Amino acid sequence: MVEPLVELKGVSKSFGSKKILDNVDLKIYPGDALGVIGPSGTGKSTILRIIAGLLKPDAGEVYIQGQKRQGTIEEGEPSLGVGMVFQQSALFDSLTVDENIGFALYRYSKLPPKKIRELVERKLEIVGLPGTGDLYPAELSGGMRKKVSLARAIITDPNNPDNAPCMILYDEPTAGLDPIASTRIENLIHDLLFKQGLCRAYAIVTHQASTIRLTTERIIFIYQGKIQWDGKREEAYVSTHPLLKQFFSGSIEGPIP
Amino acid sequence: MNRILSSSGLWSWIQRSWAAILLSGKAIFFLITRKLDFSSSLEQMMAVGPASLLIALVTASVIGMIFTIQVAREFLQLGAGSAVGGILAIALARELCPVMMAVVVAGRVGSAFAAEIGTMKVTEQIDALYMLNTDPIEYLVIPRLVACCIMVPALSILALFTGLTGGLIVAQMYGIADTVYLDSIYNFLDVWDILSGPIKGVVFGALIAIIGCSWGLTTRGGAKGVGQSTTAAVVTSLLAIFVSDLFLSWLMFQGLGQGATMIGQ
Repeated sequence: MVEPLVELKGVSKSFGSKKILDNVDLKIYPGDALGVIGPSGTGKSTILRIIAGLLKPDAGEVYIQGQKRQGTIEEGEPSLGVGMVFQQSALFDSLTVDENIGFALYRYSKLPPKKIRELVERKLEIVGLPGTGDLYPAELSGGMRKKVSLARAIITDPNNPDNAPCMILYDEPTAGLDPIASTRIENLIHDLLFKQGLCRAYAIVTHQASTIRLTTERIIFIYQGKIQWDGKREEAYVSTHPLLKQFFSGSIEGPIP
Repeated sequence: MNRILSSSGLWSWIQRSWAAILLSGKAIFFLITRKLDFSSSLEQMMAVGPASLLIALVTASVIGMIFTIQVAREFLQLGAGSAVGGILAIALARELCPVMMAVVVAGRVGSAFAAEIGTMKVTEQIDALYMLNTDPIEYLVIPRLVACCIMVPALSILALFTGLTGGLIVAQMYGIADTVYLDSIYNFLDVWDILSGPIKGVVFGALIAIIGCSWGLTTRGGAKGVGQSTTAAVVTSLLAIFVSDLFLSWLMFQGLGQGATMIGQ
């Protein structure tokens, strides 16, 4: 039996008096291309942040590759091989593209700077931005910033392959992009797992129909703090579940107000 | 009671002040246990020191001149013109230079710390640092803390010399001879007076860095939150500088001074 890469057991999280996640159980397996969908404010990003170790659940347990998360990264917990691409790209404005992508390697690896530059350039080629290492984030378009952010999430120290990301979390990676730039990012996300093998699974929070279609194979639908539906993407499109029907049709008539 | 506290913003200010105290503890722990990033600290020193130099020196010389005008016109009436340089030197060394330099740095640099780190917070860059196994305290706070703790005292020392030079120019206009002015400084000023400014400067520098960084790290919301953090960081820094100066002066200058005994000598 295949062991899950990520497992949430009975995870709950509230912000103030508002319960965002309510006793959520979730398993993400190697090869999973998971789409996390649902209306705004239902805890999709919260799930990602709990898996990433940026948030601590109020109740429940989180396991990454069989290892239990004891706290948040802020409290000193390691990332446990989980990488994250943020909605706003989160590139460091004062650093060049090269310094952004190679940030962890420049700070913590014993690799010479020249070698790191080569590794960065290779990742830039993978994401389709060769020769942009000397630019600053302010000089990049929204799509380019997302790609740089992606390159930063997948770069690893060849002398320390254990630190390679087992899973990448994407928080609305195509939000605010035009359809062509979105498609480029979506193809890239898909290829990183299925062609390049640079991660073992990924989870995407998105509202975009094209992102769901081009990047996900499995979908979970979250509403009122619970996973209301979990299954294959093709089944989601034809499901008679009232939440899914309303979500995919974009209708204002239905259980979601 | 809680409603009054939260509607006035006082509750938020108390929470952020507490966060700043916790940040101070963590920063001291990191300073002791982690290796200092020299290049990053040097970069911050350049932003705090040389970049503030012109405004700092202009401020110091103008204050030296203004103070000399007020002291000279009164002391000359008393026949105590020989004390003008000394009184100015004591005021500049003990209080004016460290406090004014701290005010300049708080306004120019503390606000920039809060704005920069606050923007990083609301654009998820702080979260990205965590995901890259980098503690923002080590990467952002420590270099700024080190830079302020070195540069505010350094600016205070430079400001003392500039202020005294400004005073000398004005003293000449009031007919006080250079030698009288300089002898007065030599007689009034002792080593402790000269050291007190940089010592205060270290404390003020630490307060500016910690408050600026802490207010940045506790920023919420978007652009509005960054703006509020920036303003609040400067106001809180100024308050902290003046209140801590009261306690430092009380601790450092106990008992009666010897300055007045020099008048007429």
